[in-house]
Formats: sequence, structure tokens, C-alpha cells
Amino acid sequence: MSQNPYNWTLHTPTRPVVRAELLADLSRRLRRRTGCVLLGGRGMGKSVLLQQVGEQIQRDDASVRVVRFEGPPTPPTLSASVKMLGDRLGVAKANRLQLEELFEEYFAQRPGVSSCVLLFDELDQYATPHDRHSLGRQLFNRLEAVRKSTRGRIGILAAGGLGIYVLRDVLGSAFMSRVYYAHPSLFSAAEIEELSEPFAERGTPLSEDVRKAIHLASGGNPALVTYGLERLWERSGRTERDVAAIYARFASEYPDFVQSIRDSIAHPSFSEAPLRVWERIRVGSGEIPRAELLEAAATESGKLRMDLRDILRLLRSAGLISGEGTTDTDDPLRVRATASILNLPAPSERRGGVIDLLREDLISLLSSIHDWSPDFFRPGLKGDAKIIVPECVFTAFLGMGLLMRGWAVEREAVQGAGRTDLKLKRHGGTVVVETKLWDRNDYKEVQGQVEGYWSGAVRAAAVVMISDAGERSFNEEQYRRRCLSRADLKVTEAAAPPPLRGRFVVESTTAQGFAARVEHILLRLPRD
Amino acid sequence: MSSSSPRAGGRKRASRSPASRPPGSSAAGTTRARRQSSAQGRGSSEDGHPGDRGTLTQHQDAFKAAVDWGRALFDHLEKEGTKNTWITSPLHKDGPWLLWLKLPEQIQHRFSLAQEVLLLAVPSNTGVEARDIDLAHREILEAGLRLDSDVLIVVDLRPNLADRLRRLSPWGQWIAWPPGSSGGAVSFPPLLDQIRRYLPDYDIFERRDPVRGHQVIGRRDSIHEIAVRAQKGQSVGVFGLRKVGKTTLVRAMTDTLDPLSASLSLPGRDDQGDPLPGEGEPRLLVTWLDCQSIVKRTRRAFAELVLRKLRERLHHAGLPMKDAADPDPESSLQALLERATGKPDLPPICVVLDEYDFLFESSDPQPAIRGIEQVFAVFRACAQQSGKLSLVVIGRDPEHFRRPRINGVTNPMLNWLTLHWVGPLDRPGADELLETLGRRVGLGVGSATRELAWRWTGGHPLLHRQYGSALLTVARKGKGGNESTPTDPLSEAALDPFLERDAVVDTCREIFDLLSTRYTSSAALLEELARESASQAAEVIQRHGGFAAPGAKMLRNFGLIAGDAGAPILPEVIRWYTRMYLPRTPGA
Repeated sequence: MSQNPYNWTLHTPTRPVVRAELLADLSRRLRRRTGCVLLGGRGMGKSVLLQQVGEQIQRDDASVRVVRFEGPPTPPTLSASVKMLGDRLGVAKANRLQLEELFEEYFAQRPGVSSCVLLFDELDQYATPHDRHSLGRQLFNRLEAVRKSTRGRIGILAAGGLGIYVLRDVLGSAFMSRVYYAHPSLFSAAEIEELSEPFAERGTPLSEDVRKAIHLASGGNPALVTYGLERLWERSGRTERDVAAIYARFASEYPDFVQSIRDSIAHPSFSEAPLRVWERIRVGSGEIPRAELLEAAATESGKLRMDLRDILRLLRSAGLISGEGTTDTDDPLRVRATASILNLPAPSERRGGVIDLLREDLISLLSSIHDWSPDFFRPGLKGDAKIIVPECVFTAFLGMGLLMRGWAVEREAVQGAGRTDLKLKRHGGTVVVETKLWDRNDYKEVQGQVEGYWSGAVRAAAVVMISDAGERSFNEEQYRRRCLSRADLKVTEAAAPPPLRGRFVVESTTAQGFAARVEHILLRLPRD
Repeated sequence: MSSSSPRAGGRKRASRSPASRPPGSSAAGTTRARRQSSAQGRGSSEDGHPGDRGTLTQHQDAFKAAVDWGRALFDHLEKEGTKNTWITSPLHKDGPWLLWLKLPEQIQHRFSLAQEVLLLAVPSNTGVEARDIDLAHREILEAGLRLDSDVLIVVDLRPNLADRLRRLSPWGQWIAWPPGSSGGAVSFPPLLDQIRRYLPDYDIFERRDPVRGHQVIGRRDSIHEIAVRAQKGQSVGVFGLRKVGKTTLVRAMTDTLDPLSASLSLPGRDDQGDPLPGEGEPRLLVTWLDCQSIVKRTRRAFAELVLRKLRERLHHAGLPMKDAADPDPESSLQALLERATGKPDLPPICVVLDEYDFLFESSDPQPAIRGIEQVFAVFRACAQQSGKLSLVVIGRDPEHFRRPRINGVTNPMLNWLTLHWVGPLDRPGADELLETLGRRVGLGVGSATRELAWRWTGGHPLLHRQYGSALLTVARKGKGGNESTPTDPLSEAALDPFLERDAVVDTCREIFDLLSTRYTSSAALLEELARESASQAAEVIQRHGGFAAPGAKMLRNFGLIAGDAGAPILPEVIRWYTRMYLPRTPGA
């Protein structure tokens, strides 16, 4: 096996995705000596971007000196920071100088240097909760004064998450007051394709469906995308199911990463308002009254002040939410959680039989799919209408969700002719889940197919029928007529909580003589 | 194609003014060669420059001889009525030439240009480079802001000049003026066409840092008032919200009264070179200190810093200074101030302390720099004895000058400053800002646009600029030709992009953050005013104690409410922000 080109824990990827537009914009602003902030949650690629910005600036203008700081000095004091700055710039005895003098000295020593760009990573580490004397505020306010003066000739870019707002708090920060905000976006489908090129170079290209499964599981979070590719590189199988299995393990394997994402948006010492807003958006259906979000955003007494705009920007920069339209004037706001393992609802404390657990889990996961429906479409060819992703992608997503909720996959249940979509185990009982797209292929035969999988170990089965068709062609009556018309079936219509379109419980006897009980769950995905 | 340099060393300029020459510098070893013919002084140029025509003509001839297309350029300028008023020749062979151009008045007015703009002529085969742009930028800043501070015309012969400039991303507005050829001879397209084409590409409204020179708009009365006081040796406190234009205001005053102070702030300034035309006789000797940049927060370090800056300025004014380390910088400061203010031939001294609040409350554990009051006591004593020292402090509010005691002793700053609150621009100033900058980028700002902008921003300069920027964005989308775009049909459409801007929301948030931290009664009043309808405003203010009560008074000082007690006015953007983004304060 050739060497794995991916390592999701490194900040120096061998195959970095180049966000040319953002890089050019930041390079231009910094060369014009602007103060900038790169706002992003964990894994959003801030460190990589910082590195790339430095390289871009050097390409654009070699007379600019770029200095990068990975984090605060030890001890985290102002004088240590000034000394570190002096050391990096080659200015002796910097700690005896005022900051302005330090730069004067530097530029006097290096007449060929036109300006200096300072890149600060891990800005959150410079911030201390409710401490207006924090290193961050001391250092950046002083740097801002030097930047602002014509004597300065410095551009500043600092990357961080919630800490950025901490720096701004308490009478404001001069630096934060004038900064330009940038944030790395989630990887797009095209960027994931670009990143997966080594697979093609090795002769094992990833199919579009596999890439889509990665996209849906990771939400496009750069670290998570890289994690998936890294694991996939080492597997013999590279199907959507492999993707599901890889991502299903992530939260249990790397709980600290998941926690650090939460820490980058909310912290008990600073504010938990972003967490409340995030939760409200996660359970929303994509349209949320502004008043409800404002209520969730209320500042706790004595905590960090953030307004709703701050919070939405923070959540967006962490890749946790996305939205359409403008958040500045719309009411309700069209904002939703990004399809990702990070946004899948955690299972509540549950008891009950396997059938009840399966139903509950499927309804929860299908609700998420409904909320994230725009992510389950892909653009049509040559400007045609967008098209729904194939069954295998839905199956992979449901499989991943069920695994994350404690279900185990039976190893023999692999995709193929005559094989079930998903065969899962829990509490010693086996269940079967078959996913179909309405009006596609053999969808009418779904009840018979599930019966065909039945064995003595199978305790329950579910059919998930998904469609993007309109109300007239996809409804309970049509479903009964086309899929449940066999005379021997005992069909009972059951309650279908929103957003489900319908639900049936079908009892029958299989050809092998087993008594089968199959839940049919109908879900319509809105195209808009 | 090359230019020859008769002398080694630095840039050469068409003339110099001996009166402005730093006494500590000498011609020997200077990097800017001195031309004998220019030593006869200033005012001989027909354009009011200190340079003499003979020198300028010689430099023009040198330019025409050195640069292949130099003659064609001058012929074209003459044909279009543009005058060359100054030339800075290059450091080295093939280096760039800097030509000051005085454009015809109708062009100046049409695009709100300053009287003169800079042209960067690059004769080398490599074409314009980043360092050439830097050189030009420095020329503009050193020129005492007499040149238009945002525009640079660039000429070189290499193809794709505009693309190359775009990649270089120079500051401000660049105008590519690539010569072509006609019948084998170099020819230039009309400069007006190039100006019209390139000026709108740059969003001149999008400024968040303090502006200078030509961009200072709508503050004439304030600048005049502070200038008069400073020249009389009176001390002034300039207070107001962040980003409302306090530093801009004071810089405009100091740039006018002491043009050299602007160029002294440049890194690596060559203080032995020929002064540029903008560096006239100072009417004030300005020492500028941004207190936010102070790392070592001790009385001694602060006094040393003031001393060093003051020495630097006085050195350029001809007062010889010894530069030895001071055992007692405070005594040295006192002695220096007494000496300088005692010189009858020197103008008054002005010490500007920007962000002065940081001296008292910054980031370190102690509330104020220990003993800082003693340095202020030195200033005050000298100011009162000599009448020739003015202290200008810039900050959020005068609180630290009003406390009876500081660091446990009597506050020496009590009842010293004349307060000058900087609020939003008044209506004519706000209109002027939109119209002037609009003309620059091809927008014909109409009355409906001005009215709408005023209603939404209340004249806050940064917000007003942001609205202008949004207007430009909308206008660019529907841009047809090169003619001026009337804005009234676009003014409503610009509102959404205006409100989407980070700078707008950040400014509103900062206002509430500041008020709720330091002026809680004002914060409560503002929030209630913003949540109630405009017709309820007077009643709300009455409920909070009336128009003269502390809560309302501070909002008036900051310019957040205008009008009178019967009909108070709040900018719409504050109402919008409160409704859209501000979580309700518990109990409000």
C-alpha cells in the first residue's frame, strides 16, 4: 500500500486545498496593513489557512516580512510576547523597548522590508475569561496602535474562535473594533473531489456517491473530511458503507475533538448562549422566529456579551449551521444545522424493545435528513433541476446514524443483489432496514424483498421510502396502491409524527413461514 | 531606455526649502542631493510651490531625456491642460520618477480630487513593482498631504499594466495609463478616460481607520476651534465614541498646523533630504503619542517616551538636543519644555495623547500608571507659565480629568481641559461626505439618497461611509457606461447590503457594550428608545428623567440622540440593530 497522503491531525497537509479567493483577499488586505481576524471552529482549517496566507503574501510581494506565532509565549505575559516578537524579528533587547520602538528598530535595520505581517494562531489561548488584563487584550491593543499609526507598516491576522469575542469584551478592544472578519468555509463537493485525487492517482478513485457520503458525514469540516479520507485510504473497501462505518466511530474515538468544537463556540466561563442558539437551530425545521433565537441568545448575568449576529457568525464559522437569505432582515430566519455527525441528535435515555428502539431512531434520523434536505440533493447537469442523491447515500447516512446510536452492523450484510440494505443488531435482536427511492427501480417490490431477508433471528424490519415528488404523486394512498397491494398483507396505518409523510405497519407470513412485521416509513424531502 | 543619475545616493527633488531643513542635518553625506539653484527659496513657481521654475524645467528636461516616452507624456499633458508642478527623480538608473500633476479644475471638481495628484513613471523594462508603489505612497505622505492621498497614476510600457497593478494591490485608487503607439510614435489615451474607468474600481467609502488629508470632510468648524485653542496654548479634551472621527479631527488640525509632524511619523524617514512643497513653516510643533502602544507602564517609561518624541520634533525645528540617557526624565522633560516654550522664535508646542484612557485603565492590574499625575503636573505647570504648551487628549470621556484624586493625591488635571465632544457629522457635513466621495467613484448622490442615509446613520461618519459603500456595490451591479450613476433610484436597494455589513453591526454593538459597561442609565434609555416607536421617544426620555438627566445627556454628548426634548431623534440603524440582534436586557 502506498504511503497514506492524509493525516487529519497535521496542520501541514501534503495535499492542501487552496482557497484561492480567500487567500488573495487576505493577502491583499494584510499587505495594505489591515487588521484581520480568521474566525473558525476546531478543524475548520485555520492553521492551514494561516500558513497558506503567509506563503501567498510572499508570492505576491517578497519585500513583506511574514512572522507566524503558533501560540502565546511561556509565560503568557506581555513582556514575554514582546521579547518573542523581537527574537523573531531579530531585534535585540526588545523587552527594553516600547512596541513602536521595536518596529522602528526593525525597519531601520532592514531597509529592504516594506512591511511586516504578523500571523497569530490559537488566539483563544490569549484570552482569559472575564479578565480585561488578559495577554490578548494587552498585546493586540498595543499592536493595533502600532498598526494604525503610519509608522506601523504592519498587518495583523489572528485566528481563533470564541476567544475572539472574549478579547472584544469589556470596554471593547481597539484591535477588534476595526478588524475585517474572514472565516474559512466548509469544503464544497468540488474541494472534496480535489482532495481525493490521490485515490484516483493510485487507481482507486472514489465514486461520486462515496464522496457525497463523506460530505454528508463530515459536513465539509476540513479536519473531518481528511479524517475520512485517511481512514478510507487504508481500507480495502471504499463504499458508502465504509464511509458510514468510519464516521460512526469518530465521536467515540475522538471525544476530545468533539468537545473542543463545542468549546470553540461556548464555554461555561464565557457564555453558553451560542450553545442554546445552536440547540434551538438543531431542533428547528429551517425557519425559526427571530424572537426565539433572541431569547436563546440572552446574555447570562456577568457573562460574555454576544449579540445574535455574533452567535450566528460563530456557529457558521464553526461549520455547524448554514442558511439562506439574510439574517439581517429576515423573520423568521432561514437557518439550519449543517448535515454532519456533529449535528446528529444524541440519543436520549431509552428503554423498550428492539422494534420500539428502531422506530424511534429511524424517526429521529429521518427528521434530521428532512431538516438537512438541501444537502441530500446534488446539482443537475448543465443547469437542469437538482437531483436527489441515490439510495446508497441515504442508506450509508442511516447506517452511520444507527451505529452512533448503539446499533451493531452484521458483517455479512453487504450491499449486493438479494442482500439487505442494513442488517443491525441490538440487545441480541436483529433488524433489517431497507431504503428505497419512490418511483425508482424495484421500489414496488420492497415488501417482498424484506420478507426475503427474514430469518429466525430477525425481530423487526423497516422500509424507508424517500421521495422528492409532490403531494399528488407521493402520498399514503398511492403508497398503499403501488407497494402494499398484495392481498395477504395486513396493513395498518399508524401515526406519523412530522415531518414524516406517512407510516404503515404491515404484517405478513413470509415464504419460509416466518411471521413478519414491517414498518413502512414515508419521508418526503422538500426540494426548496 | 534608461535614466541617468548625475549623483549617487537618494532621490533628488526639484527644489528644497532651506527654512525647513533640520538644523541637525548637513548636506554632507545626504542621500538627497541638494541643487544649488533651488537654494533661493520658495514661491517662485507659478503654482505657489517653493520650487523655482528653472529647477523644475531642468528636471523635466532630464525626464524627457532619460525616459523614451517622456517627451510624449509631457506633450500629452500639455495638450490636456495638465501641469507638472514637481518632480522627484530616481535613486538609480531605471528607477521610477515621481511627477506631481495639477489636473484641470473641471476634472478636479468632477472627481473630487485634490489639487494635485501623483504620477508614477516607470521607465524600466521590468515594469512597476511593489517597491515603486511604496515609494510613491511615501511621497504622498511626506508631501504633507497636499497631494491627493488616495490616487496614483501609473505609467509603464509593459503590457497588461492594469492586471499587474491589480495583482500588486497597491493602497488606494490606482489609474493605469499605459501608452500605446500611433504611427510608430508613443501616444497616450486621454487621461480623463482612464480616470473615469479606474476610479470607481476602488471603494473609497470603505475606510475604518482614521482618514487624513482630502478625506477629512465635514469637520471644518471643529478643526478650526481646536486649532485656535492649541495655538493659544489652551488644552483640549476631544471625546466621543470609538470610530466617530476623533483621531481624524485632531490629525487634520496637526497636519494643517504642522505638516512635518505627518511625515515625521513615517518609518525610515530620511530627515536629511529635501523637504517637499507641503512641508511649510509650522504654526505649531506637534508631538503625537498613541498611549495604547505603551508596553512599559511606568511613570518613568512614559516620561521618557514623551521626552524622546518631543526631542525629535524640536530637533527638526532647529533646537539642538543632547540625546543622552536621562537620570530623571521628568526633570528633563520639564527643562526641555521650559526651554522650548521660552524660545520666542518657536511656535507653541502641542502634545497629543491619543487613547489617553489607556494611561489610566489599560490592561495591567493597577488602575493607572503610578505617578502619571506627576507628568501631567509638569505639563500643566509649563502650560500655565508659558502659555505656549497645549495638551490635546483624545479619548472616550473626560472622567479621568474630573476625578478629585488620582493615585491617592489631588488630581492635577482638574478643571484644565476645554471639552470638545465629537459626535456624528451634522447634516451638511454628512451630505458633503456622500457627495464628495460619490463623485470620486462616479455616483451622482441625489437628495433622496442623502435623506435616507441621514435617517439611518444619523451622520455617524463610519456608518455613513458604509452606506456609501453599499450604494457603490449596488451601483456597480447595474453599471452601464462610464457616466455618473444617479443614486436616488438605488438608495432603498442599498439598505439591505448596508445592514449586512459587519462594520455596521459591530459599530452598533460597540455602542451598547460601552454604554452598558460604563453608563448603565444611558444604556437602558437607549434600548428602550430603540424598542419603542419613534413617536414615543419624548415620553420614554421623560420616564428616564428628562432630556437633561445624566442618561440622556451622555447619549446627547455621544450624538446618539439628536433633536430636542419635544422631538428626540434616534438613528434608524440603532433601532434596527436592537430589534434584530440585541437580546433583551433582563428587566428592561
